Amino acid sequence: MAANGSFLSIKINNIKLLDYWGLGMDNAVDNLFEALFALTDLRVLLRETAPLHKLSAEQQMQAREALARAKAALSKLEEELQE
Amino acid sequence: MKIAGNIPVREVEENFINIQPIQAAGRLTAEAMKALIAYGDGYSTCDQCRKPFRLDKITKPPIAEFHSDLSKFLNMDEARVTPGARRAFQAVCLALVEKGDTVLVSALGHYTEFLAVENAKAIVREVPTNDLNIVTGDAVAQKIEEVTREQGNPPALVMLDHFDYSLANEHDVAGAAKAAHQYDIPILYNGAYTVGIKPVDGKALGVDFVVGSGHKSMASPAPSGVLATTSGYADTVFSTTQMIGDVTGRQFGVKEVQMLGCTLMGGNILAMMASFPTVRRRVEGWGEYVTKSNYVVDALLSIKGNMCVSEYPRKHTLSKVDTTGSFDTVARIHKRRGFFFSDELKQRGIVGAFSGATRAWKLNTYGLSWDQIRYIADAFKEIAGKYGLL
Repeated sequence: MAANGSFLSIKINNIKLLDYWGLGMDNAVDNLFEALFALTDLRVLLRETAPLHKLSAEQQMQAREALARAKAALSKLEEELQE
Repeated sequence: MKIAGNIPVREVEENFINIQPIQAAGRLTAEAMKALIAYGDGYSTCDQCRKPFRLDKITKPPIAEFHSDLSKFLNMDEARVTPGARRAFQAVCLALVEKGDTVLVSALGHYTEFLAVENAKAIVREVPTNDLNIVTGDAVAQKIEEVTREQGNPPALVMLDHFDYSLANEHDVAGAAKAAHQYDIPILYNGAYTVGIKPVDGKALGVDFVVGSGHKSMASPAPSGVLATTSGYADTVFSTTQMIGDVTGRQFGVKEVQMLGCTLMGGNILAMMASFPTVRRRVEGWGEYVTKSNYVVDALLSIKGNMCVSEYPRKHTLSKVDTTGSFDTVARIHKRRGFFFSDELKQRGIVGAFSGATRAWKLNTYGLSWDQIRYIADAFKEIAGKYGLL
């Protein structure tokens, strides 16, 4: 997601995933995908460290970042769906 | 944990090191998993399909660009995605081979090559391997001459696996291409075990078709694959429909006959595209994966009685080993028979070796980190030590 808050910028590599139509994407949907993608990064980290899941310092940092992204997105999602 | 009540969540890759021989290089990247999340719906590629209404022409998402990138990646002129390598073999056979023609395949060729030839009502003839289980260019030339002598016509096509599915030995594709072209026979490069994990240059190899498997070697879901060809063969293998409906007069313009129109219309191609930047980078690291493969095979060979059935030192991450002289001696007297070995591996968090097999079996170490590689090597030696095999 872009830091400027644009709704048009969720991308997987060069694939723009959402909002082909240029209408702007609902914030709730945006945050939903952001949370799912952050958890996916965490999933891959678990794969890379199987079977013991002993994370190096760098991997621990990656895990913390992914969890923080997921929590932030879920927190926003919760707010948006209660509005 | 279950999906829809009775489908267990697959946690193999998260909980274990998986050395299953055909699964290693098809494991998805994080980006491919994200693409599946977003594009899992059936015809998800078709949101902005515009004239001429063909998958490889879609620009949003950038599927057209991906096709162009694929052909450049393989150094060929045209590429299409296919539902697996097998559908690419089928497309080439149906386009080039007539009923009763002969097609040469390797004596270590994949069964789907046989089926593709049979589907075109042609006949397979096998090129034998040499004493080292390698197909050479000379062997291809000899087989062409033999078939031509017997039948009065040369074979219509040669198909050769660069690394075969059985031993993952490296076969002489460049030599075979040279031989085939001396007799004006086109040659198909089966890169199911190379495209996506090691660099492949179709023009340098001198082949007419390059086939890859998305789910085997390009970190993509099944089925997915690629068929790339030269400008000389593109019009033949990607020919467009000429059919006209006799009642309605309908025609379908640019739809390609051998592709049966559009091929991968949903999450599969988007996942393939999402993995592609990683795939493009990872082929440059092939040498290190081969080093890791040899590290594990060397650990197995350090156990008395073990042999490497594949060519050695290894040139690939897939290997066939024979442990008849070690782990199988334990299996003969163990109450769990051959399952003792997979039990021991599983207890250590390693899966993918064929359950119950303690004689000849295959493993693939592609994609594993050095920590995981050392862990596997140590596990084999630890199991051997436990049963007094060291």
